[in-house]
Parts: sequence; structure tokens; C-alpha cells
Amino acid sequence: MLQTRILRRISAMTASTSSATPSTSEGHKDRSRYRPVIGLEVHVQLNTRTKLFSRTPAGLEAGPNRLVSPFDMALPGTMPALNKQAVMHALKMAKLLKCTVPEKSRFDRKHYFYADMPAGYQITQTDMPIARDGSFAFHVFDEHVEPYWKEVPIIQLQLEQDSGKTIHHGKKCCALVEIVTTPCLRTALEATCFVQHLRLILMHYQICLGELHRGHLRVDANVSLSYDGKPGTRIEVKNINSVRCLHTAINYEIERQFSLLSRGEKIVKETRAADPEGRTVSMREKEDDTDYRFIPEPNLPLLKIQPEWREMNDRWVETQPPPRFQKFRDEFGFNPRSALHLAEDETLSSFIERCAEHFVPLENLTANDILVWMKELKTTMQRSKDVYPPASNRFAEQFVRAIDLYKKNRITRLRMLDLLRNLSADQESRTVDQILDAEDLWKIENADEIVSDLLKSQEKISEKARQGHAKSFGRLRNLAVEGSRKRIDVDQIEASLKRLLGLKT
Amino acid sequence: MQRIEAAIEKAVRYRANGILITETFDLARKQAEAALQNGQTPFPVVIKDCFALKDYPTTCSSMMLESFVPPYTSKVVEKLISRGACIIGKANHDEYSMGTSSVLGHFGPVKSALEDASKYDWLVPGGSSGGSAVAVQAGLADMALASDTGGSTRNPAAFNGVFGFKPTYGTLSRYGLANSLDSPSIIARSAEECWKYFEYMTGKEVDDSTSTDSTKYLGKSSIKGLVVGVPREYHNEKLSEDGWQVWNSSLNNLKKNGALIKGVTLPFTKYSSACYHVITTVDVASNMARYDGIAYGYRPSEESSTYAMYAESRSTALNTVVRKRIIAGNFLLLRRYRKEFYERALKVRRLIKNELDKALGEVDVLVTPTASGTAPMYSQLRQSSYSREDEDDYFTQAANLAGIPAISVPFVRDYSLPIGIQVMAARKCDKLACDQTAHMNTITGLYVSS
Repeated sequence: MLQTRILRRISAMTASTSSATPSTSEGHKDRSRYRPVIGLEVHVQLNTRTKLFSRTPAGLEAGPNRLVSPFDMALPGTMPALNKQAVMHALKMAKLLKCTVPEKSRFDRKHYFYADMPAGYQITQTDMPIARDGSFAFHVFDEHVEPYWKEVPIIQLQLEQDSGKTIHHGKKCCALVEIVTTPCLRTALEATCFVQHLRLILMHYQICLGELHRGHLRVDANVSLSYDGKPGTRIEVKNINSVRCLHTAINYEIERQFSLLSRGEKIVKETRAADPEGRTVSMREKEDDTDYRFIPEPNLPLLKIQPEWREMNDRWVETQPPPRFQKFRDEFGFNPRSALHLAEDETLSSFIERCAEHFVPLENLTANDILVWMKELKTTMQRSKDVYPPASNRFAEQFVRAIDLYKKNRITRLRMLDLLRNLSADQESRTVDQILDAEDLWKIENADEIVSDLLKSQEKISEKARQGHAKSFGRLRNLAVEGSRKRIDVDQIEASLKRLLGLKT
Repeated sequence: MQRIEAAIEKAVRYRANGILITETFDLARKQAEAALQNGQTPFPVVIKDCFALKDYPTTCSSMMLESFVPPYTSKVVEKLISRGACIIGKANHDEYSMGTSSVLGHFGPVKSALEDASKYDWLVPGGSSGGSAVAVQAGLADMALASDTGGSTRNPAAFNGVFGFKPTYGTLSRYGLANSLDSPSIIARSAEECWKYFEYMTGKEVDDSTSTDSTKYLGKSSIKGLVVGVPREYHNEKLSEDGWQVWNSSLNNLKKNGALIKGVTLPFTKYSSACYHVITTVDVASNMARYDGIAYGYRPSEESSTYAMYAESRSTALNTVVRKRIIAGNFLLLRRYRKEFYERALKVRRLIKNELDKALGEVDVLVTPTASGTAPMYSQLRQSSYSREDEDDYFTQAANLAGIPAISVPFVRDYSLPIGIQVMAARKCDKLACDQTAHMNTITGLYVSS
């Protein structure tokens, strides 16, 4: 939830309180004059052992109302005691999102009545957040959009209680950091890519468990349409529980607002909820009516960030290996799209990492070779009972060795495919080189010898082929491939056949 | 053990005075036995009913918490018990400690034991910790735990002729005490005892982030050479003739015994009342938001909607004073008024604090009246529509706004009611405040123990 004052700050930047009023009578129907303006509030549930202000265990699976302390119940006289681990996580996030960390930050009470929030207020941060003025950069892409680089300024990070889940869902109710971005995103795709990359980073640094459907990450989107650069009325969309939902809800909201504006109607400032299909429905009218009556939390002194806490967390972040998608992209040379795709899948990621040990030192192999052959491997294994991709180290090593041999022209493509089948079947205990040596399957460069022998033995078909009978030509080619035990490239066999049959090349 | 039985006997004898909301005699006896086994001397204690005591009702003198039994004990109470305290009962007070008369609690008024009380009129014990003060005065307890947000300990101490000590904010943990600006405080029969019980309870608590370690400075061994500041703003139209005389004679006594009397001026003190009201009502509005009748507290029959239930619960189970403060506090916090009132009050509070800190940098202690005069009768208080409460608050609120230690020393004169003189010292100079009060008491000899 955006705090009033941040709202004002955003308003100051975009003057988003005044609604876009089209100046000409028909201009408001011109879609090209509108531009979506999107900002996100990402609620990150921190991976802490206990809740933000009490020593009740967090993150355990317990029934409703089970893991509750007197403080969580807001019993009279109970007081919050700040969880240091949560502060440390927030400092790591500050480092990762390139934020400034003020020397002091403050907790504030945000008042509203809600049956699941026993104190009648949420302890959060507003004017003096733990970190501010950061940025986060990532690639934006999908199947149709080529990757481009986008940098999103972050307004602030605020530590707060998960207000909605204080008692019920006792397993949660934990420490949150709310990340507030500037409204600089332009498309639903940019928003989803932001969340996908952010999620992987937070998971990698063990700050958050990262499962959206379990509420580890919750995203609210603020969407408006500017008209000729003039800001429009902001709609807050809540209840978004997946990346797909974020995408559809933003697009739905853009369409809804455009259709209202193009009919000359006004957008009413409000909070809307995304339904399971990603449509947005009105929840309640927003901030203008709700006054949260903020006061500084009297039971907590100002939080003074010790310089050594920052140094410790900064150093920790710096000494961690980079997140997989970054490593895949920057160290292994995968394109941003594949890097993200692979990193989001644990099995694929670890397969890549096993392969990387063997292919990274090789100069002639690229990440793309690995991708191409992974695809072939997947097809090859489709009918097999074994799991794609094979989990053994041995396989990864032999897989890379085979690709390397193929790239060096030591084996043919068809031999390569056979090898993949053999290796993945897992009955094979020999190395690629042992197989090739033992069965003498190394590639032969000169096809003419085998082809001319073949033509002699298959005179009838040869004659037909010579006269341009395509089927016979194909038959001869296949016989040659077989006869060579896939040691000759099909291309070379075809070239040789054509030459020796006297056909046009 | 005898001491405990005697205290219980007193508690029974003074039942008509409305001192205790809950009697915990069996608990006291059990605690006495445990103390004796540990080689400690058991002593009877009464605690204000806004401090949580595990497995016993903690009502805050309100219908809202009539059936509330906390699963934990306040830190300060735990510490007292560990030193041999035997809890005789939970003391009556103004609902949620809002008031200076102990008349307005849900369980009926507290009546001073200094004069005979009738059903219709009685001597007001002061408040909000009226029950605690009367308990010590009448001998139900050696010490009573009270709380002090704007004078709630010092005022009843003054009215009942006992000592009331509000230490530096944070030196006694608030964990288990209802409001956030409250300071746990001590009512006892001497300054030395106040200090002794303070030492039993002080110390930083992990559960209370606002708690601090106590006492930076040691006391002074005598009055000689003590620099006593006398703020002229405390000599005003609110102060009674009686009050002025006692103040004056106590200063003369100090001077005779070698203290240096120095006039001081604290011009911002006159804003302390307005400032205090804004800040405390805001605090009250926020802290009271939890009393919605859902998880605990008074649950009304009205359940047609969640909001209807909140409204019904709060308007039935909270008294007018409390509701007014909640409404005022929420009003003052509204976006459109916040700057004008709340934020300004915070600035004024800083000015008051700076002014007191500065004055206490130049003198050792400040000596002022604790209240405008002696305790009024209930009939007088009603006639004045409780305006006397605000007049008395004037003398005590500044110490709360500045978070400094303040102690009220009683002066009991023949044939007339006691009057309190207040000694304030710099932050964390709690020892100095107690010591000087003790010396003052010795030299003036005006205090007569009941």
C-alpha cells in the first residue's frame, strides 16, 4: 500500500492528481496520444525465523491462530521488539537495489480497522524509510520482443508488518520490505520482467522464498494513462497473485482506461482488485477518503543503522556468487531470454552448471551450441523413460565432449544424435571417445570411395537416379549413410552422389 | 508473614474505600511463603490495575477489559515478586488512567482514607493512581505500583500524604503497562523506600525497546551547597494560599540548612498543558484502536457488520472521558489538522524539554508544588465540573513531557490535609532526586507517618 506522503512525492513528480483532459474534440480517441504509466509496490516477505516484532516463529506451517504471541494479539501493554535479521535482510536489499541507507530510520503507525489486524494499526515506515533512492536494471523481452535494457528508479524500501496476516495464516504474518518504484514502467511486459528478475535476485540472496502464489511476493500495480504527456488518474490494482496475472491485469486496466477516456469519460481514482482471470474490479475508493492518521511508533526508538551492519551486509552480497540468470548471461554467454528461462528452472539450471564446468574453458563452444543440442537432447529423450535432462555429472561431461567433437568436425550430425540417445539411456558406461574408438565411428571426410562402391553394387537404382528419379536418389543417399555407419555427413554424401552420377549440383 | 496478614486485614477493613478492584490474598500468601523459603522478607504490595498480572484480571478499570486475563506479567511486577513482593490486590484508578480523581472507573470511585467517607461525598484521593496511593496510606501495602503520564502518581501521593516517585522515562520497563507515555512509578512511605523499590525494578529489558539503563549520577550526601531552582511560573493563580505557604516554608527550610535558592524562569511551562493534551490524546487514540471487541475485550451482541460491532463495543464499554480523548486524538491526527496541532505540539514539547534540561544544567533540583492545594471533596470537584483536575495537572505535566524524574514529598500539618512538594532532577538523576527528597524530609520534619 502506498503511503500518503509517497503518493504526494509521486504526484509531485508526475502531477498525477489532475486527470488528463483531452483538448480537442476528437483527440481523445487517438490512441497514439496516450501512454501507460505504471509503478509497482512489491511486498517482499522476508525469510526470517521469527516475525518482525515478536519472537513468534515465522514461515512454519501451522493452522490459523496457532503461532501467535501476546504482541501479535495486540494485548494491552505488549510492545514490539524489532527483529534484527529483518533489518539485515533489508540492508542486503538496499545494497542490491543500489539504495542510499540513511543513518536513522523510523517506524510509524498506520491506522485503520480491519478484523484481521488486532492493534488497529500497522507498523510501517513512511517519511524515514530504511533505504531510499535506488535503482534496478534488467532485460525486458518475451517471445516477440527482442531483449532491451531497462533501469527502474526505486523510491524507497520500507520495513513493515504483514498487516493482513497477523493472526490467521499464523505461518506468515512476518516481516515485509515494501519496494516502491517510480511510475516509469511503460508496458505490462516491463512490469512482469521487473518482477521476474527481482524475484530471482531475492531468492538467490536468500532474502525471500519467492513463491508468488504463497504470498512470499505480492505486487500492487499503479496504472494510469497520460495524454500528450499530461498525467492521468492513478488506479491501484491489488490482489495480483502471479506474474501472468500481473501482465493481464495491467493490460486489462490499460484497455479499460483507454476505452473510458476515448468515450470522453473520466477515470475515478480508486483501488481495484484483480480477479483470477486478471480482470480488475472495483474494491473501494482510495486514499482521498482514507486518512491513515500516521504517528511515529512510540514503542520503538529511531532505528540507527550501525555502519558495521552495512559493511557486513555489503561485503556479504559482494562475496556471493551472482544469481544464476546473471551468471548464465554474463559468464556463460547465454542470451538474456534463455538465461532467465534456464534460471527459473532448478533442474535446467543445475544441468547448465554441470555442463559449464566442461564447456566454459573451451573456446570454440558457445552457450548457443549448448542450447541447440539441449533442444535436440530433449527431442531425443521424449520417448525415453529417463528424465530430461539427465542428472549425472558424467552425462554433462560427455554431452559437452560430444558437442565439442561435433563442432570440431570429428563426428557427423547423425552420429551425434545417436550418441545422445546412447549417453542418455544410461546403460552406457564408456566415454564418448571410447565409444567412437571402439566402434570406429569417427567422421570420414572423403565420401567418394564409399559412394562409388555403392553405385557399382546398386546399378538399377543408380541408373534411375541418374535419370533424375528423386526417390532413387534418396534411397542411394540413405544406403550410403548406413554403409558409412553415419561417419559421413549427409551433405557430403549427396554432393558426392551428384558428382559421381553426373547430376547438376 | 505477619506483615502480609496485617495488610490483608487492612484491605478487608477498607473495602468501602474502593481501593482494590481484584483482591489477590491467596496469591499474596503463596508469594509470602515462597519468599520466606528463598530467605527473603516478604512485603505487601498493591499494583495498579493497568499492569498485567498473569492469570488475574487486568481491567484498566474499564468495562472493556472486565473479563480480560492476561497470559503474561508486567516486567516490573515480575521483578518485584522476585524480591519478595506479595501482591495483595489490583488497585482501582480512573478508567485507562485518564483522570486526576479516581472517581471515574467502571468499578466505582476510590475514596481517600484520610477522612471518613460516606456514600455520597468523600475526600478525593487524586488520580489516576488513587487506589495505589490510598493503599499505601492506609497500610494495605508497603509499596504500590502506579503509573504516571501527567501526574497520575505524584498527584494522589500529594493528596494522601505519601511519597510518589516518577522516575526518568524508560528506566522502568513499560512492558505490560497499557499506554505508551506512561511511566511506571512508585508510591511508598519514604524517599529511601522509593529508591529501594526503584532499584528492585530498574534495568533495560529486551522486550521493551524504549527501556534504558538507569542512573548516571550518584546522589548528594546533604542539603549543604545544593542548588535549588525555584521556577516562578509555578507561582500562579492556580496555586492555593495553603500550597504557597507550604512551598515557601519548605524553601526556607532548605535555605536554613545550607541550600542555595535560585529563581529560575521556565516560560514554556504555560504551554505544557495544551501540548500534553494534544500529545496524549493522539497517543490514546492510537493505543485504544486495539479495543475493538474482536480478539478480546467486551463483545457486544450487535454483530450485523464488523463496523457495527466495533462501534457498539467501543461506545458501550469505554467511558465518556476515554471516548472523548479517542475522538479528539483521531481528529488531531487527520491530515488537515496534523501539522497545525500534532506536529506543533511535538515542537513545543521539545522546547519545554530543552528549557527544563537547561535549567537543570544550572541547578541541582527544581522544587515546586505538586498540586494547587489540598485534596478537594467529591462534591466540590463535581461542582467545578472537574476543572480542578486540569489546574492540578499544570504542576506535574512538564516533567512527563521532558521525561525527567520527579518525586512528590508530602507535608502533613496538624489538623489539615497533606500538601505535596515536588522535586525534579535532570534526566537519569533519579538518585539525586530521591536523596534530596529524603534530606528535605529529615530537615523539615513536617512529615508525620501515619
